[in-house]
Amino acid sequence: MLPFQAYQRAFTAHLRDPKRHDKPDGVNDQRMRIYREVVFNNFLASVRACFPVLSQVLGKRRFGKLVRACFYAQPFASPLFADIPKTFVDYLQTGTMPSADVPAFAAQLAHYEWVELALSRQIETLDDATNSTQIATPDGLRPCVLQLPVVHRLLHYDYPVQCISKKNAHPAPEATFLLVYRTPDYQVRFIQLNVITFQLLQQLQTQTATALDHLTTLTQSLPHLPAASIIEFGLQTLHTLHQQQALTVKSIDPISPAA
Amino acid sequence: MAQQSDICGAGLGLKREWLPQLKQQHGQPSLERLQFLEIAPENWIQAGGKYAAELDWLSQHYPIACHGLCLSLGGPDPLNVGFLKQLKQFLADFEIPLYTEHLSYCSDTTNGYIYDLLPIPFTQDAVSYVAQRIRQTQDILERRIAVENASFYVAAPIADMDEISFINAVLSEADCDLHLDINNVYVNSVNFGFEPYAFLNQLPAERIVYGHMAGHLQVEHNVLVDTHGESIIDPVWQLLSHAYDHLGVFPTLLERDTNIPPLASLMQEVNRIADLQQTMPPKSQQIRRKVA
Repeated sequence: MLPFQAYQRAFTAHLRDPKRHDKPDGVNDQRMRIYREVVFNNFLASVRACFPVLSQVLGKRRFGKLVRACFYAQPFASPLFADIPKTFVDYLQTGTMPSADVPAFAAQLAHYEWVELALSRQIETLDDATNSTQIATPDGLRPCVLQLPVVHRLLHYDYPVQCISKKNAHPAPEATFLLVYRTPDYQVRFIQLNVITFQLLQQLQTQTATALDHLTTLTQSLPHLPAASIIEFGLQTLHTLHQQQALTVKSIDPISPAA
Repeated sequence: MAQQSDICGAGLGLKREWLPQLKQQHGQPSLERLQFLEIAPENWIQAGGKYAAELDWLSQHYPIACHGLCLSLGGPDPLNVGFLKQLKQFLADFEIPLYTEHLSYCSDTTNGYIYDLLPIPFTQDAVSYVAQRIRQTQDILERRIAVENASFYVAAPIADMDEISFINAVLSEADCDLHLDINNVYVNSVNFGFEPYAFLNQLPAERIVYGHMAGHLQVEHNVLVDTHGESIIDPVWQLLSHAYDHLGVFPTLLERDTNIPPLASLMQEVNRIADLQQTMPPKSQQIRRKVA
């Protein structure tokens, strides 16, 4: 280490955690205070901007403590500013927060809040030549091979993260399924799903088949329910998603019996 | 392909808040003298979706300069070569002719990035270290870069030279260009009690390719914080005028990062930069041309 680097090390250690690391020897403390405030407040602001709900639920003091802990405990490998919120989520997911008063849902709520940013910035890896074919009725979807938008995620949380707010800051655990996706005009939308629709969309994501074939497969995993009803409700659900631009028509199977 | 000479006249550091106003007012007399924009690559690299669409619009309508924040030229960890390669591609993709960085550091070996500009101690070993990293950067990017004189608040007790000696030594040892921030010269001159005109007079005119202007916040009579959140004060305008007069006219950009007013009101400061550039005697225009 070069001599000036020992000074730098003391300088940044103090900025990351002033309580544990003294400022470098011989440095004016009043001036150092500017760095203590500016550097952490800038970092705090770039984290807080992405997590409005979590920061409100925790309140200024607890959220600030959590961000401070992240600032000195977590590695920051990316020079890109948009990666700061992701690093905060990573930190919460390590579960190593020193503060006992961080609620159990914090990491999942933070992830849910971060996903909006992540999808809004995601680069399309596939050609986003979305088929704009509109199918007017649920039955019209039977021969259609449907696909989720190029930019989307299917999410499963243990808490109803989308319902958490300052007024609802103590949610009971509840399996929660969400589809989040980006529309062609760059809006990021969230749709809450029931577990069956969640599984149907997972299946649709991994296997190429018509809507009718997918729903027929689904009837086999739900033998206690009447197959005709599953198909009818399933087509209605898929059609609602189609109208919300969450499902597009990839192709139409010519040999399927059109309804 | 864009040339460095495309970055000329008066410019503005882009804030995304202004995009709708920029799109609406582009081509109108109110923005006539806005000749280029500046972005931080760390905000735009790997950005898809609406951000990519915005960048496409910007690069089609304005010459763009890139002013980096996180390369950490004075940092203790190895230069981020992966990032530099991404940056090189980004500069090529958007035909960005000018890339500048700060003479500062923003990382440590314990946690990586700290995302703010910290002062490199002015020592001889730091000169060699930083100059070598600037050379490495220029090699990877296959282009010259300019480094900016940074604002700072804490004098390092280990320093063995003053700021002007440090800057000049780095520029010469690295063989790179200078991005001259006039407000930073002023801020530092107040914070550390030196004569800003004498400071400017010692800079190598032939290396200056780009300038910044901004406002700052006075927190005590001898403490200024470089907030980019206020209007530019008269002493800083006078320094710019002196710089043009003694060092030649260089493309100059207005930075405004906090307390952000509507575009139209900021254009008054952009226009004032353009006015000053145009009223300079031919001699100072010529100094620039010789080195361009």
